[in-house]
Amino acid sequence: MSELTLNDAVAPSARKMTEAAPLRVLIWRRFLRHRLAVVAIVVLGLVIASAVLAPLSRYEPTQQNPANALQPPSPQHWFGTDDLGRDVFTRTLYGGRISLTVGLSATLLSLLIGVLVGMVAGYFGGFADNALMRITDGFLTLPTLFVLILIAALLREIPALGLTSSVLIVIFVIAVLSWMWPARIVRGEFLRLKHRDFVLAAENVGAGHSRIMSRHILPNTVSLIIVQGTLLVAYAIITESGLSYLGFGVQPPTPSWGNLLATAQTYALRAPWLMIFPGLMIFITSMAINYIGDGLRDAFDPYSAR
Amino acid sequence: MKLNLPNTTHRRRIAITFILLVMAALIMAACGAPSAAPATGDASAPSQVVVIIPEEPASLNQYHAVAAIVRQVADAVSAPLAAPNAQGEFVPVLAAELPTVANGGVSEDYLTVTWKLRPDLKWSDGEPITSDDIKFTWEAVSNPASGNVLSLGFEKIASIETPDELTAVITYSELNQAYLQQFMYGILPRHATGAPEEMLQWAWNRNPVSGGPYVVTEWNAGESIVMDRNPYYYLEGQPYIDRVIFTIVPDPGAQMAMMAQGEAHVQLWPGEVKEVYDAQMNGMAALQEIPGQWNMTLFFNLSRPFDDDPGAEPPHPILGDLRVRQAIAHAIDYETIVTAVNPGVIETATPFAYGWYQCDQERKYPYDPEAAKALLEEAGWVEGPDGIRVAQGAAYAEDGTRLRVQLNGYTNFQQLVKLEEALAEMFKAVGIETTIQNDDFSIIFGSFDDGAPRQLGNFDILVYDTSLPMEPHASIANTYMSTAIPTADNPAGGNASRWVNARADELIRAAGATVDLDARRAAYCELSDLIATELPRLNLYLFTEGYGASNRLSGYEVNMWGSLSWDIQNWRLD
Repeated sequence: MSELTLNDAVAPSARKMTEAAPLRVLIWRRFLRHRLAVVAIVVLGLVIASAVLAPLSRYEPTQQNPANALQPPSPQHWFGTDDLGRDVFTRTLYGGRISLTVGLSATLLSLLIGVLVGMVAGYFGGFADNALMRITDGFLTLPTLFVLILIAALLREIPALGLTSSVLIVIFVIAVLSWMWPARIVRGEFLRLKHRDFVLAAENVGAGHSRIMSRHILPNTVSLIIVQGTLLVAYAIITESGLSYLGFGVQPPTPSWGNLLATAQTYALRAPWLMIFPGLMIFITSMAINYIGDGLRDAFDPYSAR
Repeated sequence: MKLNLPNTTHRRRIAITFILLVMAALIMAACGAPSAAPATGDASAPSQVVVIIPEEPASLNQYHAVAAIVRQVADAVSAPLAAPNAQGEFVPVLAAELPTVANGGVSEDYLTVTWKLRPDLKWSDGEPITSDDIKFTWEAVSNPASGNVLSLGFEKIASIETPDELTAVITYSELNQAYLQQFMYGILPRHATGAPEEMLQWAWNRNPVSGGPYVVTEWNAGESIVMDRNPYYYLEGQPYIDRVIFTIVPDPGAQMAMMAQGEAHVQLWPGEVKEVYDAQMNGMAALQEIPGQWNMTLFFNLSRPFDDDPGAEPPHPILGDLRVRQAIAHAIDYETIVTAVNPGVIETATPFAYGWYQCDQERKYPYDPEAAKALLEEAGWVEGPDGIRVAQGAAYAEDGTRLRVQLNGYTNFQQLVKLEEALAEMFKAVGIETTIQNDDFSIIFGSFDDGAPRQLGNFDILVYDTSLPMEPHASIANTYMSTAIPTADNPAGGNASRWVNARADELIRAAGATVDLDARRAAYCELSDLIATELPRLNLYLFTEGYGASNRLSGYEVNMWGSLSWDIQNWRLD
């Protein structure tokens, strides 16, 4: 990778922007040079496509055949069957719908809250910083399990939640429990960057706070935010299954990778295929998102060029 | 976070990938690997049995036992006057004989019961066991500050006289049908315990002066409870085994490995189907099981949920109509459930499935999907475009209401989830849509004040397993009487179905007023028939109960009324 030109490692301000390609093209080019990231995008695309195309499977995700339970993988059932004789392949595909939705949406929501809080706290400092960071600390010290049980008890008052609203609640709960990490990281970056020359320059030409925050400082923190995001996706997918243990979230018989994995524990020795396939999907998805994040970070951050 | 050195990120990525793969391999290996466990003594050492228990009892005082594990261990050190054997009959333990009307031990009006102790009984510290200890047990347990959690009717005792060291004369202020059960959880030594109001803090609770076959010699928290023979045990030459080690192993995989390698001799609650268990034991051990007490049941809510009224009225829009409940009963393929969905369970159609009050109950509405559909049509539920029925002239539901019910169970119980999922498919086949909502144990079984759905009546169909004790009357009365519907005035009521039936009330009152077992059984069996017809609940099956036992162990008998250690004095090791 040493054939990278020197230009890539030089701050954009040192070049004449009119002569170079637009920034987003540069970023895209740099991203494409990260071959693993490109492969990861293709893999993630395939995973998403498999979830979207799940109805093409010849089985229904809840179609049972107890007489044919716990069969190992075969031409009829590529991933074997589970304890009620359901097709694990079909359930894994359908499970991706919930898990990917929850994983990606909860991450986006968590980042949205975290970045906003971190931006305001880091940029304005003083009272706003103190107040917001104490709230962040407060959320970090929440005993998660008890909060979840409390939420479950409160939700119990609402009769018959549909699947859509359960998924929305799960996304919301996961975001509420995880926005603190991006908030602290973004705050730190804003504290570091807000006295840099380019920020002072922007101030001097009369840019407002929101413009400075969003147009000048935020783009410089994107690489860190992306790394944080990739970690959150896997966290969200696993946490979702934990929530259904506590009585909310996705309830059976709707499959998600998390709850397929949870059920599989009982049969770990007798029917390992129940565990392997959903586990592999979570693994592949997390790895893919991680590599994409890696590629994006390298693409956005000229200093990390190899 | 930034890395300025060339190629470092790439190398780091490879390293991370490698570490993840190694971790995955380790996790997989850990799943299958047996865990190390202390080896048992050699042949020349005194005989010793290792009993695996999945959790640690907080105390060995059975009067504080909320957790089932306590009795499993505590029976080895307890001193009952009488206890049920494997046939469900009471047999004397420390008592010389069972008090009956015939032998003069029980008065004609059943209000006076005289217990006689065996002569020359001693506690494990050598002090004599006397009738005063019987009296002390009543004083201690009936003290409101004692922390007692068992309902044994101690409050019905008016007085206890001790005319001599071996005789205790108990006078009841009202009939206690369960008088033989009164001291089955053991009597307490006055000289070695403490003040009744401090019972929760007694040192005795974890190091009891014992009247049972063993004494605690070592308690390693979180690890093991070691017991040695009680030298003063009343049975000559017993127990046969010198030392019993209750070892605490929560992980089922480790438990199985210990059994398969012969490191342990008894495994409590293995949670496996017999064929699977025995196959994994390679002839070292086998699962000893019998039909148990836990009866898997659907509880229908006959009253409207979420109307801020826990009472019986107004009726449930769907389940308030008997024909819908009958249709649900017809929709269930009981055979498939007990053979394929949860193999190893035993079908039953009655809550009174065992004990002296057992009733032979046949299903009133056996598996018949066509009959189910016909009943739903008749009840005003017609098939909608997607196969799910909608109300059109139903008794309590507005036209257009979807025929949707929610099954409500508790979490962390895979067998229950399987059952719910199977039921949902069976209901769908007759046009009933089913959602599943499983809540944390503490929510389902919470109190009225906690807003537990069961107590407030905020559910459609509850699914869980329930059991009846040896003397079932208090439980039956609090489950089926119309006066037992949980409300603000009666928060502990157990009639969660909100079933109101005058004949049921009458039968239960009659059964509660007599000690004639035949008359009581007849009343309970008529009640069973009424329940199977009116369907406030639908009984599905009994779980089996038991433990894994080494093939070297003999002399034991699995007892659904007793604990694992109820007959530990009879165990032998070859």
